[in-house]
Amino acid sequence: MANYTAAAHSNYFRVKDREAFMEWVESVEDLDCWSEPLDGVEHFTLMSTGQGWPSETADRQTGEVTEVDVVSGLAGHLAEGSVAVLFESGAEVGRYVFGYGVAVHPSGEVVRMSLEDIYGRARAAFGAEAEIHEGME
Amino acid sequence: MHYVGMARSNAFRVKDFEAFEAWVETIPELVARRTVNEEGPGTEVVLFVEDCDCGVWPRRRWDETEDGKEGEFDVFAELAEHLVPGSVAVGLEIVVEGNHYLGGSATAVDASGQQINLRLAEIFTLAEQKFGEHATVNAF
Repeated sequence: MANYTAAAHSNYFRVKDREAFMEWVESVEDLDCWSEPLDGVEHFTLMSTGQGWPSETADRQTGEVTEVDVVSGLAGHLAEGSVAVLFESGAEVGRYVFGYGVAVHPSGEVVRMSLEDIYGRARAAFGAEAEIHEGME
Repeated sequence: MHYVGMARSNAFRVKDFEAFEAWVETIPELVARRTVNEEGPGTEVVLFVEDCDCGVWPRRRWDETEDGKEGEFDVFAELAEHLVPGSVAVGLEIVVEGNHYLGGSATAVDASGQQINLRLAEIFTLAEQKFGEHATVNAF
């Protein structure tokens, strides 16, 4: 994985409790956020300082590692009616390229899409007889 | 703001590898590599982008016939001319601009030149459709 690189960040969204949201962000390794006023209302954007969205974090005091679900964790902080969209993309040089987005509603409902969805669209357009390799090797 | 990208294709089949390679050599950012799969018609290859600062599929190139002017071109339209009928090439691309923008796109093309496209930004539309007009979905 030496040549693996990934980036992750979100659109701008509103949160229901600024302090609780900031506390959650600080509790997860490799998460950071910025805020900007949009139409006079504070909006946040979430980003990863590591390689993509974290899937685990170590407790700062004990070092104990626990799993993290950024999508569900964020959903609990969203203000009513505000949808966060999380993007991640990356590549392993010489092997593959990937990218996906997850839209998260305060209810916890999500919508996902990925660059890999192109293969389904291509099959629908070009038919079952078309030869479409999903791999790069 | 400087952006970085990465792009490469799936494995697809070309009719004439030498002609394909000659076309690739006209576009400095592109590199083609044969795969180890020797079954089937033509030659199976993978295309990727190298030797440029941005890393995305090239959209412009110098036109040698017009006094060195730079012009737009469609890399997938030209690639299609080399495809074995029935083989589909898929190009994936991602772009990151610091902490301001993250995007991606994909294009599938067949030997007839028909193209199918996808952009990650379509998720904003999908989210609006799923969550309704009362949900606010801000773009970047």
